Amino acid sequence: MNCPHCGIFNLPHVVSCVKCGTALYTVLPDGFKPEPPRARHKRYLRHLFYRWRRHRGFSLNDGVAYTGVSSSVRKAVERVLPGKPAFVGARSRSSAAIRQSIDDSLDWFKEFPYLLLLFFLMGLVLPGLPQLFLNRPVRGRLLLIIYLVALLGMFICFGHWLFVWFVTAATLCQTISACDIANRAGRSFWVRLAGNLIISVIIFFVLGIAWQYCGNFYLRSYGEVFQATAYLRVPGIIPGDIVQGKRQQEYHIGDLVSFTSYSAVGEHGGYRTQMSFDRILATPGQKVEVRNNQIFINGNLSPSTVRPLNPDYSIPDMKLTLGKNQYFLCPSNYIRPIARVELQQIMHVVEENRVSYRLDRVIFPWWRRHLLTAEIK
Amino acid sequence: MGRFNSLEFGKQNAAAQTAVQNVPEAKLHGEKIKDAQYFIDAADKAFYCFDYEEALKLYSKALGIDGGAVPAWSGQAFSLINLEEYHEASMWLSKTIELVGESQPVLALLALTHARTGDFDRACGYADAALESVGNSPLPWIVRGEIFYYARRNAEHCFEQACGAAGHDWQTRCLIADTCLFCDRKKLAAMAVKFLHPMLELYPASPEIWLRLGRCHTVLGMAREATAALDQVSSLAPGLKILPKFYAEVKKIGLWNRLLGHFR
Repeated sequence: MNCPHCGIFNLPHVVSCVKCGTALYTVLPDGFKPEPPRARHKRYLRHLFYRWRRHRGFSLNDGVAYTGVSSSVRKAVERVLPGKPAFVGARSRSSAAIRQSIDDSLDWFKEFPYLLLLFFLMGLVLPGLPQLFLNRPVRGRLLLIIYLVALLGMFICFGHWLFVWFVTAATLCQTISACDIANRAGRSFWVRLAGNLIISVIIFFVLGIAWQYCGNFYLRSYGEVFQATAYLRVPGIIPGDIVQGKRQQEYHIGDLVSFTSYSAVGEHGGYRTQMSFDRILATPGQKVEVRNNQIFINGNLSPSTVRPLNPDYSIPDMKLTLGKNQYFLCPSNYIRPIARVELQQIMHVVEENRVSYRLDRVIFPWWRRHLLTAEIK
Repeated sequence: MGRFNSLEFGKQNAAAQTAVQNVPEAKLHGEKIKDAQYFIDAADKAFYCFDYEEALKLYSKALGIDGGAVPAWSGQAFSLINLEEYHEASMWLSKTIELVGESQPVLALLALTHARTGDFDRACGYADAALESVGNSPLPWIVRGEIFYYARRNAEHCFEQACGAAGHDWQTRCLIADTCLFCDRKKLAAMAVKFLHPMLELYPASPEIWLRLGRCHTVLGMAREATAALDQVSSLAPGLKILPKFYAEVKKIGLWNRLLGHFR
């Protein structure tokens, strides 16, 4: 080889120039072994992921104003290759000059430091819109469509158990949108993964709570509302219904009321309070008699349509006169497991101060909306 | 050292006295001198025969002699990429840039690493840098072609540009074929055959080209042609380690693919 210093030809095995002594070969630092690092094991999952990414491919944006790689990528590349001009990417290379002029005019927009925050907030409001603006039309439209469908589903299924799933879908759209905007391109795979995980967990929970509060505020606009739980059995109400209530000075026979009942002693002792729904069969001062599983109010048979959930339960025979502040409720006995112990609840007479609201109508879901008219008077 | 003692260089400095390595006398007569280029050539041969582990060892030997041999550095990184050890390849390329500086093949390989891990933003950036840097290597165009394939663009144009680069005749086309085969699509395998066929006329005794042709035919389901190509390889380069594996791949071609292969 020729000496880089004096240009004289040296035979291949000569280490330094025979004329000037210049080293002909680069010598590696002491102790450096020219053996590359090797993977300790096969990374099947990672390769599967890479393969999926390759299969998915990407689109070169040469049709819009936003061109070039992101600033984080540019910085990362410039860190490795100092002095290199900022990469303009294949996008602007293949774009026309007119597009380049648009790029230049919008350059301040790309470098605007709060753009990320702005887009992030926009992503919270309407996912897919920032993606459309950043010329990622497929994912933008997809996110937008899913989000709008989820919103529609949320509106229709408000108060239904499906509502939660639509909220999840909408929240996921917003999370994905935010993660996509805050894509930490230029960082290592694990940093990006960790970043996306943190962002998605935070956003998902924050938005989930936000949606929940929104729903609650909307419900509160109806006044006092209650949701019927699975163990309640009241005519006109099925589990999951959201019912509107109203506080009354006094209650009448046939009114559906919510009241605070006491469950039996729990596993660890002490009372558990809970809200229950039931129908008033007798008001203060009336005489109640139960004979052969039939209820008589002031000597007349009460046409109660409600029967205990527990078929083995029979109303014990009794004869009593209600006190000044006492109501006789339909004995909708049920068995509810509390702390893994099945406890029977038998509710007959409740004090007036435990009755809180009269239930007027079922308000949600929309298709269940109806007035809870009295069935017995 | 004997024959150099009699050379007349006039008044040389002291360095010239110790400039010559201790090469055994017998090796100076007819036997190849095992310098860095010797090991790089041997490693290249192993590389093009899909023996990447052997290639890595030989490139390391070359680097042990000449630490500034860029082909050895890039060859090591390329072998790691072909072994699907992308993270290690990326680390090694960073080390290469640190020690010997940036060069066209190194940047292209960085782009290739990122393209194969699906990090297309960075891949585009490095591919641009490789094309802008000084040099006449076909590798940046090949990498650009692969990136264009992932972007569903005209990859063939980039491969043609790579073939237009001076020198590197059959090696370039072999690398193009490797790229097409990696992408694992029949359409690209057909394109690889298109690029390989002209080289068969020029280098009919090159087992590397026949090897790739056999693989392309295997992907296309043309079992008979694939077997013929692999037979050609076994006659040209007997004892190739990878050959039984490729024969096994030919045997694995399903009936449906064989039937379709007849119509190709």
